Amino acid sequence: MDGEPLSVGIKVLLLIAICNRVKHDAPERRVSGSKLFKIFCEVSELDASLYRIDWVRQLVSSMDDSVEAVYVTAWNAFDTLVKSIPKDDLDALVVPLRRTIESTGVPGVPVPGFSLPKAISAFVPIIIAGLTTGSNEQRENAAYAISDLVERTSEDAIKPFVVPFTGPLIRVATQAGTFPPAVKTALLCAMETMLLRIPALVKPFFPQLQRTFVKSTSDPASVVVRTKAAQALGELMKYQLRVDPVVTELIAGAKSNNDVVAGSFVLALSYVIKGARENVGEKAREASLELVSDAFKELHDGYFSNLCCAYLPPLIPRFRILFAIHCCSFCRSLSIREPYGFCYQACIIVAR
Amino acid sequence: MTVFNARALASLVTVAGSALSKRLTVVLTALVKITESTDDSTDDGLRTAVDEAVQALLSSISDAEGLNTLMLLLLGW
Repeated sequence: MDGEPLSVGIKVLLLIAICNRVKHDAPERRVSGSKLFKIFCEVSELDASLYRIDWVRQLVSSMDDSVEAVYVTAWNAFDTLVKSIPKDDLDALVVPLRRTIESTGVPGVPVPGFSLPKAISAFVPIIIAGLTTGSNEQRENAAYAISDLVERTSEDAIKPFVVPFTGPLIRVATQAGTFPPAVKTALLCAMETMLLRIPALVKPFFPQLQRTFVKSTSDPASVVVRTKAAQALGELMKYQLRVDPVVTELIAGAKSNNDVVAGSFVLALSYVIKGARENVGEKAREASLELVSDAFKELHDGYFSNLCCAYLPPLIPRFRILFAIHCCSFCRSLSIREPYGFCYQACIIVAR
Repeated sequence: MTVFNARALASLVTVAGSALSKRLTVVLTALVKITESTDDSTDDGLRTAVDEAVQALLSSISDAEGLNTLMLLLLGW
């Protein structure tokens, strides 16, 4: 540092530290900021790529402003900014974009700027670029960005963008074999959020979602992925009338996999029965009971046994007696330590 | 500010080069105040002239320092 002016890098750092915290008191001035930046994007030939991340942060967070003119101009400026960015540079913005969306507004309450007609169109290029061509971190954040947007946008405003988001989500999820668990979890999370918030709009995708969730329930790499898939599958079954094929498939999965993965199938089965309620047919119920009975006949990994006792019996009331009988005979027949804990837990459930 | 002043500024900034950076904040703030004013004394002719001056100013920024000053200013608004 020999008396030279601050380097551009340091100036940018300072700028992030100072400016992003404060916005001008007067709404007119906040409008002017966005408006002038929009004009700048249109007329200037300078390379402002260093400042893109700051503007993404600034403009997206301004979309939650209380003054209409502010969030409208902020959205316009954001739209112009995104359109001015070369395609290859879009995926780099997905991480800051997601962080900003996440910290803008609160889940469940529409952010006014996101809910303007067609507003989501400005976010689509960045998110899709991150989701389909990005690094693992970018894919993960793109999926979470979709999830966060769905939670912060009114149903009418998100409607035209459900297909552009869901299609790539499912496509990436089906080739997910190559991705680390964090990415798969994020993808499942985004799909689950859509099911929770806008079930009617994702209805055309139910068959594909179901296939994705069932497949992810057997993911060998991570219990987090399997559990998320199980939860999402249960959520999906609330809206499905024909659930017996899924129940059959899950039972088959529980029987044919090792205890660790089979445990996740049992967990999924419990969520499915809980979600589908009376839509579960008699045969499917019988088959689920049989699965639990079988679990008593031989010694399983603790995880599997615990799941069998903890999740399925409470869901099928008339199974309780049968369950108690099995449990007692099982504990008598084996005199090793594990079954005692198992029996204890079972008794608590029956006593409830 | 008058229409004449605004037009003069618009012409001046296009030839100011890197000297513009130092005056950027002052010039832009003055122009923005006109665009934001709501009183009736600001007629349409002046608004148009000011808008053109803003456009000219933003397209005349030509170096990293000017860019940084502008971004800092706008991000702070």
